[in-house]
Amino acid sequence: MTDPVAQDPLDQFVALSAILTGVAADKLHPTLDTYGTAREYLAYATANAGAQFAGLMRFYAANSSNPDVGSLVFNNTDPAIAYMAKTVMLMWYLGAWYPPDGLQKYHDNPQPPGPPFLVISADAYTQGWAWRVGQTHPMGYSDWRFGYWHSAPPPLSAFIGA
Amino acid sequence: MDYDVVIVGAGISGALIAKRLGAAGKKVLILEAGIDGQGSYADDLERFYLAQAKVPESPYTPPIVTADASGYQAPSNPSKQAAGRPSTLTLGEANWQDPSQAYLDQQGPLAFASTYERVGGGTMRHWLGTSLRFVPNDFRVKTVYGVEEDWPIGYDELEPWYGEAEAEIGVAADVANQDYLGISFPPDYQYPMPAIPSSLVDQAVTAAMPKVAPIEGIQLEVTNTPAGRNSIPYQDRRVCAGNTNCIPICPIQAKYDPTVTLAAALQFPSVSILYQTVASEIVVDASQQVTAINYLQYTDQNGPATGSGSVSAKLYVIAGHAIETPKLLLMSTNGGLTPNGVANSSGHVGQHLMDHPIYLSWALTESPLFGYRGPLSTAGIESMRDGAFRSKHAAFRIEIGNEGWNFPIGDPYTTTLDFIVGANASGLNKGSKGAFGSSLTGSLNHALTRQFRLGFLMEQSPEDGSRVGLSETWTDSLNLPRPQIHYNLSHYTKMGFVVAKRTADQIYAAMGATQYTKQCTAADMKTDPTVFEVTYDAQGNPAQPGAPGSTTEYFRFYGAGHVVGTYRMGTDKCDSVVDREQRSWDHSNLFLVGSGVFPTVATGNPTLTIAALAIWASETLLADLG
Repeated sequence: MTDPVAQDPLDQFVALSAILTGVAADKLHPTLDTYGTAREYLAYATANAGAQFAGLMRFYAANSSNPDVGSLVFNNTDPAIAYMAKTVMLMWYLGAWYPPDGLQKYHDNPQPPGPPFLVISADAYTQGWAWRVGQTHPMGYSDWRFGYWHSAPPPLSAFIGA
Repeated sequence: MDYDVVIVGAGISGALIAKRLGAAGKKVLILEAGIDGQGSYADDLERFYLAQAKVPESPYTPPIVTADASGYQAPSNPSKQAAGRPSTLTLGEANWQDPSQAYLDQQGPLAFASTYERVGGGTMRHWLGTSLRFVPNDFRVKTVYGVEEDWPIGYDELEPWYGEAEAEIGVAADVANQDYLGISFPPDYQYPMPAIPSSLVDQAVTAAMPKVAPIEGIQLEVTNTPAGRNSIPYQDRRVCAGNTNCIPICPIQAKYDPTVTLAAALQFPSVSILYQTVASEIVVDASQQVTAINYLQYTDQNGPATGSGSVSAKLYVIAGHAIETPKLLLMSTNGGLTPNGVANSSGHVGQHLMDHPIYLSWALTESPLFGYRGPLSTAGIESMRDGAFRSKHAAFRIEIGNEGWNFPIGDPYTTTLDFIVGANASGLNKGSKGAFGSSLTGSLNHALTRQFRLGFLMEQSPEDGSRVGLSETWTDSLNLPRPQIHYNLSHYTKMGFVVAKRTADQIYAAMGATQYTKQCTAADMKTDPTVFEVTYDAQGNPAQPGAPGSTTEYFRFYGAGHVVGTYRMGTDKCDSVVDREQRSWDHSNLFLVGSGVFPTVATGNPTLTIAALAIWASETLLADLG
């Protein structure tokens, strides 16, 4: 049904994303993926950071069987890999594109107003995981019902599946 | 005579008056500077989702930002916009006085930090929904406490109109907990809808109240906030789903906004509206009657005037809000017949610009209280809105926020960046180490579920030095002058901040919460036009910095969006612009409505009082028309 050649990079991207974000792969990319967020982000990263993003994915593919691959990527001494990973994480968390070099500059000199970013799309904003990690929904996008705020939310695991 | 009544401005006041007049079969034309706000709702929501800075003005037009070739958004140039308005993005040291970024010609010494909209539905497109009545003493502060000004009307006179306004807006509240500080209701009165349930944040603050020692002898109490937001279906609109986004835009219009009333008004065949039509002069004849309103029209929101016209009526209503209304009055010099502007024989047009400057504080609790859920605010502490202390310092209400640290530091963005990139702008990532995987989700969850904030809305006293005028050099694309603002806060108002801070400190201590409020310094005051200094002695009186026994503190204030006071009502035509009916002292067929008529900003969010006064004015207009 799906083209195995095309599917492979998406699976790799989702697997790495799950390790970095701490959100389960089947939450990031559910079988019935209404928003197609994983595909959108893969395409967006490829279009906007082609070579650097390809470098991150190559490094991950070469080390994916290593149980510490998350740390190897996130704490990589090559900033091209480490900051590309952070850019990918922020896509998932905030639905926004923070160019890796802007993140590195912000890390080295963390002054307001913060690193530059673009909102990837309206759907991307509504699918941000930072909110779900806070056991809530993006501001301006709730599919919950009247009065839910009067009592406690489900546990974190119900949101992130991990 | 073209119309019975011409109304300038399609916000809450204009819409309510048009609806009442239309129901009585009167021929009404509304001139609205902005675009059709109902027709643009889906676009507005999309603009919000895509905004890099999701400030109150972000959904509305003309867009407050313009993207560069790479897509990064920067403030639009208001000199090129036909009906621009201020933005909270232009309050920084670098741009608050830059004519190519800031709409208002701000002369200081402090920045006026509140904004408004110029669009169908008006500034209430981005209101929170708070629908408080004022307390009776708000109307007589001079008589009771010897400060500020009395209103020419009292609570008892306004009370029936409050009830009508609550029905129009659709206010959710329970009478049983709204009768504090002298607020009264008719027997058997009920709000149109049951109260909005309180949030877990409200419940956490409520639980701590018995542990807070009385402030100025007053025991604090948490009260559910009356809200113009549906708890049951009302006026064909849905029930609130807790999108936590009342400001800037409710995605499902469960929150009332004036496009609802405007749409109802326009159902009457005798009511019509011209959008993208900017009133440019109120024409007055030698007998001091208004005879016409001249206007300019535009096609492109970033373009020049493409048309002009003039319209006449028996009665005229200016409902352009507390900055654009005085601007229009001052622009209307009638070739020298009214050299100081229309309705301005007192010289008070534009004077006494006020707001509820906010002392914002924020903290982290020990156990989760789950912010970022429900409407932006569902409760407040109203106890400090009145008391003997009002003779010494400003009163305030405390708004309990349900949106974590979104208002104070732009979260969850700031803290998420901290934990991923390895920074500590939030103060919550002390080692400035980055994290991934379960370490990241654990840290971020711990932070976001424990954040909350309190906003102290300060009653700013009316001062001659705070005023709206006409910029001599700054214009818009229609070649009309932009407003010039002088703004400052009195010692009386600043001392309210001192007490607010002490109150916040006590509440957080009683809750066992750790405070993260950023303390301002003298250095901040030099660079930030929203930071002020206050020096006081042991009695709270003004003192010179460094004087023996004196204390100096620095505070940042935020705008509440409560733009008030620039054409006040009064009993004497020498020191007010309109009478108690909101009729110009100078021109008997001219009415000025909206928050500009408030002699004081009082202690509640202004909307319900604006609406009540507008409905009252419509009755006067109908009586005049016969």
